[in-house]
Amino acid sequence: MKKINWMDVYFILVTIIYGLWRIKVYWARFL
Amino acid sequence: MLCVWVSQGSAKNIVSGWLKGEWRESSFFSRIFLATGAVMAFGILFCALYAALLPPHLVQESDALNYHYTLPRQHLILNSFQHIRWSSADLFPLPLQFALAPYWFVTALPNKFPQFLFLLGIMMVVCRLTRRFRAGRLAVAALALFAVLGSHNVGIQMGTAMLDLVICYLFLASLDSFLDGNIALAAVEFSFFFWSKSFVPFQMILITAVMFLSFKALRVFDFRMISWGVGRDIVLPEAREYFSRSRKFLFAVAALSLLIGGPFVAKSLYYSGTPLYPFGAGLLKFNEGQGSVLGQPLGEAAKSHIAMKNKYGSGRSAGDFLKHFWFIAVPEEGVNNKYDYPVGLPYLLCVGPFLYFLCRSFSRKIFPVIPVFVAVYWLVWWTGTQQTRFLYIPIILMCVVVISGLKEPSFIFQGAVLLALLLNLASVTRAHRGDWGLEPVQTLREQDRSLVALNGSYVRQEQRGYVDLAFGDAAFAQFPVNATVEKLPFIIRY
Repeated sequence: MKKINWMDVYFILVTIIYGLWRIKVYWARFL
Repeated sequence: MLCVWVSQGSAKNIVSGWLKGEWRESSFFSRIFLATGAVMAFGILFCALYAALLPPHLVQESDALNYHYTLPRQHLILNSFQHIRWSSADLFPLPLQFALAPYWFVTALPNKFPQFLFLLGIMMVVCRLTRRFRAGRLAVAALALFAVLGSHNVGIQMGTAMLDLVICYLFLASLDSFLDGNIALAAVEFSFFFWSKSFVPFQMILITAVMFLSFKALRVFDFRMISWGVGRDIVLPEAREYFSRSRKFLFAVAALSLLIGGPFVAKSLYYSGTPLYPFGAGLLKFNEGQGSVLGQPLGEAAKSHIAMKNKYGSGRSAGDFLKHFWFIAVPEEGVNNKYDYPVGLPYLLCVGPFLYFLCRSFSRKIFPVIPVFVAVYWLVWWTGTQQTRFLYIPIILMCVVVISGLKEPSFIFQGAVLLALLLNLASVTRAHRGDWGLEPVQTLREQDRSLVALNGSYVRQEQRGYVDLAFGDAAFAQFPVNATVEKLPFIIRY
């Protein structure tokens, strides 16, 4: 399996945080 | 553009060559990525095309209805270039609007199809630039294309009448034409870009000066090599060629500016005492009958236009600067944020590697032209109106530089780009689905429907002369309009 480098860690973190942020804002709109 | 490219057989040759070469050698995951990305990209473009076939009516098209469409149409109706005295925006440089007006108003209702063609143009230029910096690989170009199409701020203007994507295309196309050696075309594209908005000349001159001075300063620290992006360095014979092209380019832009920007500069000088209204209104006096602009409606409107600068963003402190790298990308409340449009995930994916590549170039004593341009452009943007619609150029260039600079884009990066495409497909669909199945006239605002009805009675009754209206966003009017109710900064009393 190909090694994950620091850029991949960055991409994963950014995508997860972005996704969670979008969910938070989306949820707040409907509360 | 598209027809010329296709008719030259370029598209057919590239696609058939790619199918025989790269596609055959690509892995199963790459094929899935390309196929999935292509399906979502077509979905986004289909929504944008459908929206582009309708007349302007959306809330995000307010500037287009306010002055991009209204003013050229009024000038065509009046058959005159003279200042429309109730409009302060009439003193803005409007060559782009005047150039597009014959296409906008050729249909029964004003259309926005040209803007969709420019969106396709951005896609083609992104592919060309990425292939240029990454030695012809189509899969990498497709990745850059998906990143741009997956950007939320691009999605917001797709299929609309707004002109920021058109302006972005003009700059990117100018860069592409310059790199291709087509100086005449590069100069035409850049001249229309240069005169597209009042602040662009200041912005471009400042960016050029800062880049030149920083290059000179860095040479003291033994910076000798230059590169366009993060790929190979520019060797001396190429550098001489680019320098020679630059001189011809600047001469051509200066000459074309007399034709393209000249009439608008002259009008602005005559009526408001500045070549680039609203900046410096009243500084000079060219009109004998003109008193001091300051205190007059034009002066008040100029102040109001400039004050819009602080309407966006969350401040200008060092902390705000650091935070903005995140907050421009995400919605805050509802769908927008303090910077107007959220930029989206592809920018966030690219900004980290971009900063890394920039620092790496500096550590190797290489001056990377496009990354430095992006950084300086960003800093100049920070000091002005902090709206993300003015960041199309640096963000798209950032994506091109990063994607062409990655040794081998990982499946994680590709997966994140696909996610961005999916989110943008959902956004674009949600934004435009309310208009699906409606007749064009059914999508119009109530005010615009009444203008269309008024057109009919104006012609039937063989009326002549101005019609007084309480508003100035009269893009659908086929008669001369006099806006009577002041609404700063766009509508002034005179």
